[in-house]
Amino acid sequence: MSRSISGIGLGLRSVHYDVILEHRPDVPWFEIISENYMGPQGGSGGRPLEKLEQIHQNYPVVMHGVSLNIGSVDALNLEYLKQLKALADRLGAETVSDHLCWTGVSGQNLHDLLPLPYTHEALNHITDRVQRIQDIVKRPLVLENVSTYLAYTHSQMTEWEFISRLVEQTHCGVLLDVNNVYVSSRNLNFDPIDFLKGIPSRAVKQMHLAGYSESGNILIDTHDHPVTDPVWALYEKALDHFGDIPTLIEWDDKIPELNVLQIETAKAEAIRKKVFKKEKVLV
Amino acid sequence: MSDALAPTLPELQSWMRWLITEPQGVQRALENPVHEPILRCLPAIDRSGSIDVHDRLRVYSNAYFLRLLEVLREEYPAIQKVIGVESFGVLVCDYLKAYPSSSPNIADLGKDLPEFLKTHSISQSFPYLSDLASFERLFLMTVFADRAPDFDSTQLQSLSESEWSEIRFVLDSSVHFFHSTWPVDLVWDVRDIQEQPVPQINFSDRNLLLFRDPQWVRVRVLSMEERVLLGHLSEGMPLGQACDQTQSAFPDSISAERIQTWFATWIQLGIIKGVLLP
Repeated sequence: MSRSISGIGLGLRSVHYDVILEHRPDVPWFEIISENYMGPQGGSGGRPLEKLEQIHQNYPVVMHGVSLNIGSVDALNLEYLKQLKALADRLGAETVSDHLCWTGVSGQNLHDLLPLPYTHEALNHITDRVQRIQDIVKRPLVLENVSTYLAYTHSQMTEWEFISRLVEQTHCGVLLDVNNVYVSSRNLNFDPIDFLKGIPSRAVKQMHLAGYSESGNILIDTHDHPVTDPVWALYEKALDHFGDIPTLIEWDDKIPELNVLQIETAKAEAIRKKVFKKEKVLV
Repeated sequence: MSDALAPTLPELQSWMRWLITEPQGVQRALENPVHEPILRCLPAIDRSGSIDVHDRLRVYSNAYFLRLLEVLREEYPAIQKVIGVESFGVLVCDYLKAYPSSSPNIADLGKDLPEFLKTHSISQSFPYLSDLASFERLFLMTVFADRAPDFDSTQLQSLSESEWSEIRFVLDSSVHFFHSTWPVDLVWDVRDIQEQPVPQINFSDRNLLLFRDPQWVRVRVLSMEERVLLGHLSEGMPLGQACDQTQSAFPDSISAERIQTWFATWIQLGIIKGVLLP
């Protein structure tokens, strides 16, 4: 079952399964964390997959992973990719998305989204891997910019130049996390508008919004707060720049009731309406 | 940094992995780099801006430990209840050193904790800890076990007596048996009740059955007799033979009524999911 998405979706989290199945809330689509439905020790998806399939009967679902480890110098994990493809086939997913980062090396998984140096070496390495992954999972790969807390002195280009070249060479899509752009811009001291302008518009397939925390003078992408005002403002600019891109509200820690998340989707929807009403007036 | 001095991608990743996973923390690891990979990559981290470079690296180091601690805390709430929050943190630190994650699936992280606890010093104070961890791990595996469609037991009504003896039962694929020499389920029962202390448990055989119902995982205490009969059936033994063998093993405590009661319960709970007719 393949269904395209539009509007403001929500991240599907297990604490909300029952309320979604019972009350069928007005949410246009959900995004899952792919690994949560693969089952431990190579096993089956069990209850989570059962619930997901019930929810998928009523809602489009898109897949978003955290363990592709595309930037690692380790070999691609073919068993993982096989499981990812099986899940994508089962859900009829049009694309699979993950993060432009590395998550482990030397066989050890650190379960974190670690920053890459933006070098030609890294670009060539990832270009090759994107193409191989797309061949294996038989669908386009969409990659998300991560929040970063450090930069490397030997980077040879900006993050947006890196993404732009990767898109040019692989035709992969971009999942633009607006919160991550803002968090990184504050931590690394760049203008987030430069980031938006540097990403090829046609490549942006989805956007993410989430809340961050402040720890001293560092912003941390904790996904445990409402979206902040500066991120809403940047989102408005992103919509203006990229057009009406499907957008997701993410909330992964201290997860509130579903209706709190719906307040966030309503705010995003209001901005969306504001941006595209303005466009109509201009036309 | 000049290109000639810049670390390669493998060098950088190897160094970052070392630094992030060092239990002593970023600052002390950099000051006393006993195990640091030969190539030092610290100059490759940009020092411009107002944020201290150690603070930047510490975000990743802290996130690594806290994230994995949280995952293990969710999987092993009863272990944490028994040994306390602080000792659980120490245990996790020791465990991650011995069993660093090698799987893309974070649910695999805790799979070796039961084995690890067999030789960890904390188990000297709580000898049942490894068994309790095995039980909590099995609980998680049961959450992720598939569940077969419900069984229509009316098809049993038309069976002749000889057919009854020969039929084999199919148990739900979520059914798992658990045996311990400690009643660890009594500890597990209070895992989320903050005001209730951990009960003292004594050395005694305990047989448990874990399975999924439409909502969640159920845990049922089995008598030895019920465990033996259900075990025979789960191995595909014909009903007549399974009952005979169980009766031989427990001649004084098995009766037809008792077996019928078990069957009614197994079907009602969704433990039996099919029959293979002769």
